[in-house]
Amino acid sequence: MILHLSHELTGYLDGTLTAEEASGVAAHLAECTECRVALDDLRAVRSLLRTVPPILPHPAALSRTLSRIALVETRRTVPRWLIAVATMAAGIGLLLQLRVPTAPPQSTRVSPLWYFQQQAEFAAAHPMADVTLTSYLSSALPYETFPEWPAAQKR
Amino acid sequence: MEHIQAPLASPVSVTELAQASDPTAAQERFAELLAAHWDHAYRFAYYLTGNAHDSEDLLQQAAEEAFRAFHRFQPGTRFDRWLFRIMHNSFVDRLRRERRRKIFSLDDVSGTAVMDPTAGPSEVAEGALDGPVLRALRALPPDARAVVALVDLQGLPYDAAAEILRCPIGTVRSRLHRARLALREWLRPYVDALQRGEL
Repeated sequence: MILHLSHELTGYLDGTLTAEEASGVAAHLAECTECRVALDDLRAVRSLLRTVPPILPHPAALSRTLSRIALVETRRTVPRWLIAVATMAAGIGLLLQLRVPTAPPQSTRVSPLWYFQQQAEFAAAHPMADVTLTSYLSSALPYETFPEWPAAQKR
Repeated sequence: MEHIQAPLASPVSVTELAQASDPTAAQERFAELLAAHWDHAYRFAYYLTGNAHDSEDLLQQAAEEAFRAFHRFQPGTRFDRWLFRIMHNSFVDRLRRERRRKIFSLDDVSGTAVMDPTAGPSEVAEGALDGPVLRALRALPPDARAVVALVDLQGLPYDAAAEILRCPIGTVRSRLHRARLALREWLRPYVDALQRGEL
C-alpha cells in the first residue's frame, strides 16, 4: 500500500521544503501518479487564486481613518496617569467619608441612627464573633430613643 | 493571467519614529507608514471580511489600535506585518464577539454553496471578485481564509504568514494545504478548464 503525500505537496509546490525533503517528494512523485495529479490540481488552484485582481480601497478611506486617529490623539491629551490618580483620590475620599467616626449627638436624646451605627461598626469590626451578639444583647437599649416602647413607658 | 499582489514594501526603520516624544510628530509618522501600506492592508481586510464595508471598518479599528500601541512598537518589527497581526486579532475578536458565523470544518462545507451552476469558466477571468474564486474563499473557515489571503493572494512567504497569524510555519503549510484541497473540489470545473488550457 502506497502512502500518499499530504501537505508536503503544498510545501513542494511553494518551494518551502528543505533540499532533503524536496528530493524525497520528487522521488515519490516519480512513482506515484495519484500524487502527481494532486500536485497539478494544487498548482491549478494556486493559479486560479492568482487571477483575483487587486482590490482597491475607497479613495477617501485613508483620510477617514486618519481623521479618527487624530481624534484618538485628542482624547489622549489628558494623561492616563492623571485620570488614575484622580480616580484613586476620589475613592480614598469616599472611603474616608464613610469611616469617619460619628460622635454621639450633644443632646440628651440619642438619635436612632447613631445607636444602630455604633452596633453596625462593632459588628463589622468583629464579624462572626460571639462577642458581637453578646455586645448587642447586653448593651442598654436606648429607651429614650424609642419612648413609644412599653419598657420605656414603665420608667 | 496572474494578478498576484506585489510583495510588501521593504521594511521601514520606524523605531525612532515610534518612540518620538512629540505626539504630533508621532502621529504624522504613523500616518506616513499607514499610507505606505494602506492598499495591502485593505486587501487583507477585504479577503478576511468579504465585503467593502466591513473591511474598511476592520482596517479602521486596527489602525486605531496600532496607533495607540505605536509607542510600544518593537525594534526590528516590520510595520506591515505588525499592522496585519493587529488586524487579524481584531478580526478574530469580532468573530468571537458577534458569533454570527457558524464555526465549521473544511470537511463540513458543501461545494454546492460555492458553485454557481449558471456560471461558466470564463467568469473567473472576467472578475473573480464576484465570481466563484472569491465565493469559494469566503466559504473557507476564517483561519484557512487568512492563510490563503496572505500566501496566495498577497504573495507573502510562509514565515511572514506565521508571524502575522502567530502560529508555526508547519501550521501555515498544513492549513494552506487543506484550504487548497477544499478549493480544488469547489472549483473543480475551473481547475479542469485551466489544466486544459481553456482559461
